[in-house]
Amino acid sequence: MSDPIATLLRGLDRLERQLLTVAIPRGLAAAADHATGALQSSDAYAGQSGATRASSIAYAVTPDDDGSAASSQAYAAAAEHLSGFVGHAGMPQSEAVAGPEYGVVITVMTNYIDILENREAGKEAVIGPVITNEADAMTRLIAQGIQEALG
Amino acid sequence: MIDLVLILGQVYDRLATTSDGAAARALLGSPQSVIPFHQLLTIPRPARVLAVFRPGGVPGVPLTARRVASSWYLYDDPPLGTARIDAVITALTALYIARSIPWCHTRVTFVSAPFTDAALDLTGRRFDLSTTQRG
Repeated sequence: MSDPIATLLRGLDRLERQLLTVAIPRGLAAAADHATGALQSSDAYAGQSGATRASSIAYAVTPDDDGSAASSQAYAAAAEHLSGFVGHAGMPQSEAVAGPEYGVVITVMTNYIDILENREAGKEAVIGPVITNEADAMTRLIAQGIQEALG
Repeated sequence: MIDLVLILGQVYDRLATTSDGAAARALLGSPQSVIPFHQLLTIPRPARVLAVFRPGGVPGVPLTARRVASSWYLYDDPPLGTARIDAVITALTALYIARSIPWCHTRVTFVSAPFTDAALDLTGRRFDLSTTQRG
């Protein structure tokens, strides 16, 4: 007959592993997909080169995945749109998430996104409004993803 | 449920017109230096420090939304730095305490670093609020 305490502890260990390696990443990925959709559908800015829309992205980060694949892809999209573009002097800009974190990064891979976020009282802002407008939905998606993964 | 547009109006009025907002208003360039964002490019620019109000979106679907976001954009002339803006931010923090909007819980969610708005030729900082209906 197995020790019930040991069985309980093994079960809790499995639950923790399932939560950290499957459930939370699944929820974060769903939230990131949702936010990416909102970013891509923004009509706040005029768009000249296409780099902002092409490199607007939300991606999940976990201790096992720093999101570098997703951010590199977005950076490449910005670089492609800005290569040879002479309408303004903006450049692609990469970024990295430091340290083991769980979260969703919402970003645009250009060096002028800060200008768009603030210019003329936020007239062309995209990241700020997505955070404001979609935070509740993203939270629900994270919770739903965790619930589904844990059964 | 309270009309969310009404809440945004109260957030605006708290600085623009109420007696509670007088101390913060006194730090602005003039009594006309509180404007909604749609006036920013359509009226002669009021004296700085200038406070520009931008209501945020309403998260969730209309029937369940209970929280509204809004922002004050605070501007000053670049040679003056951000000292006057910083003073207004301190005053706004005191003005928008938790129970400052009736039947709501209000909190400051973000204060930006200073930025230069080349289009306006002004220095600015952003002050974000979240206002949630209680109950």
